[in-house]
Amino acid sequence: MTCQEAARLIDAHSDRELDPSIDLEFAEHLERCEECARAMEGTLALKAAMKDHATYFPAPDGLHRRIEAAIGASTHAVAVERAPARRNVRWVSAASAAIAAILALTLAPRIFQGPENDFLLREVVAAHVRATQVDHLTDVASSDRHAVKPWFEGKIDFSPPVADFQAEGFKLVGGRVDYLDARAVAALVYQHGPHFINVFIWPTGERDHSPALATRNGYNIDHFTRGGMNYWIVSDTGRAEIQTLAALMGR
Amino acid sequence: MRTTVAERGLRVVPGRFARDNPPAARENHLTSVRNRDDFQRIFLPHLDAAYNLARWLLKNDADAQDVVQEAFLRALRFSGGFRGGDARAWLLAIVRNAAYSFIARKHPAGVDPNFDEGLRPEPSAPPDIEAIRRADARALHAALDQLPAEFREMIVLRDLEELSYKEMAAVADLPIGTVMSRLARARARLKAALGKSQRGDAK
Repeated sequence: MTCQEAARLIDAHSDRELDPSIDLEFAEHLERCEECARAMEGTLALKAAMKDHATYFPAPDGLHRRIEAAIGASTHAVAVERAPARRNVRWVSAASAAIAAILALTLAPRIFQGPENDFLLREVVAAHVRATQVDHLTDVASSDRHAVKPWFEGKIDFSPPVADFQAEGFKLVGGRVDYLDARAVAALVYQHGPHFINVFIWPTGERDHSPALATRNGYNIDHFTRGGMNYWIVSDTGRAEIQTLAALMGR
Repeated sequence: MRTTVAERGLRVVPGRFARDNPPAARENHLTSVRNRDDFQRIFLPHLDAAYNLARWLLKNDADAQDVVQEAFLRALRFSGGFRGGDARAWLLAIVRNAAYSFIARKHPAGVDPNFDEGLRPEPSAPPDIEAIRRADARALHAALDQLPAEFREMIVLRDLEELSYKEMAAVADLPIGTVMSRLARARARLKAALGKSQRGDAK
């Protein structure tokens, strides 16, 4: 075995991943070769340092509960299930319990129908807050709907309606792909005065409907379904402004 | 096709997985996901592993929590395709993909699409063993954070998560020979960085 060959085996040997015959050959080489032995010592020192000093980050408190609630509230059925998942009494009751716990904590009134929507409401607000907090509102920044609409092609499996309403006071500033309801969704960003408005759009099989407006943590949220698309509009701007934009979008 | 000594020498022993897996996974006899209860029973025991990987890849808690939650929802969607086997590796592969999509979304410029560990030779100077032995948690974390994510994950999966090379290959979707060489390069860089930082401190 040459030094060049041995050098490539040092880590695998230290990890006990070499097969015994090669391992023996390698060990013999180490006895004869000071340079390779020193390299081996370095790797062992590093592994010891990792063991002694590198932090293993366990999941923080609350993440377990958050994920359980998200799983319970997800509208996606496990693929192999024959019956629609919502008929599965066991998880419906688990989901209801989770939702009830969330409601008990927040004392927020439920405005939209159905546990999925209530969870979604929180998700939508969280997505809006995240986008504004990390200053990452848009992946494609443009007020030209002809630039924004094609940008989504290939990134999501549908083509969202994109329009600019600058004349009406809602300037299209761009779009991005976000993740809601366990799927990739289109996010359009509008600016109204100093306020940013996120409009999340994704396809749905539901019929057209327009539930009432909601307020959560100081954010106003409107939701409606038109032409096979779900629309969720969220912003810290006023209710009237949100309603105006919703009307422009076909509510 | 020629194989190198390294590739021929790799040991792939299925038996070791049972030993390597944490007790929670070993006692789990479920081999397919029929409903959400099954899903939770199979995958929630690996939440710490999922978070630890995401935390090291993304370097902060809030992003790691979001990515892990997103990964669990993705895993739920695809869990019908889970046919038993290594649930931890299956989940970690999804966490890893979710983490890289997140990085690409958040810092489009921060992703190196041409990541190729073969382009730059690794430092071949003998390691500064004393410097490595003196390294404390702060120095080690700083050196790890400087590595490209593709290198850092190798060290995290092996030295913190204690996965076998075969499991690492499944998680990172790489040939086992690439896992071995990438891990070796990652460690070489880490050793060099620790040597350098200690010399820097002394000045």
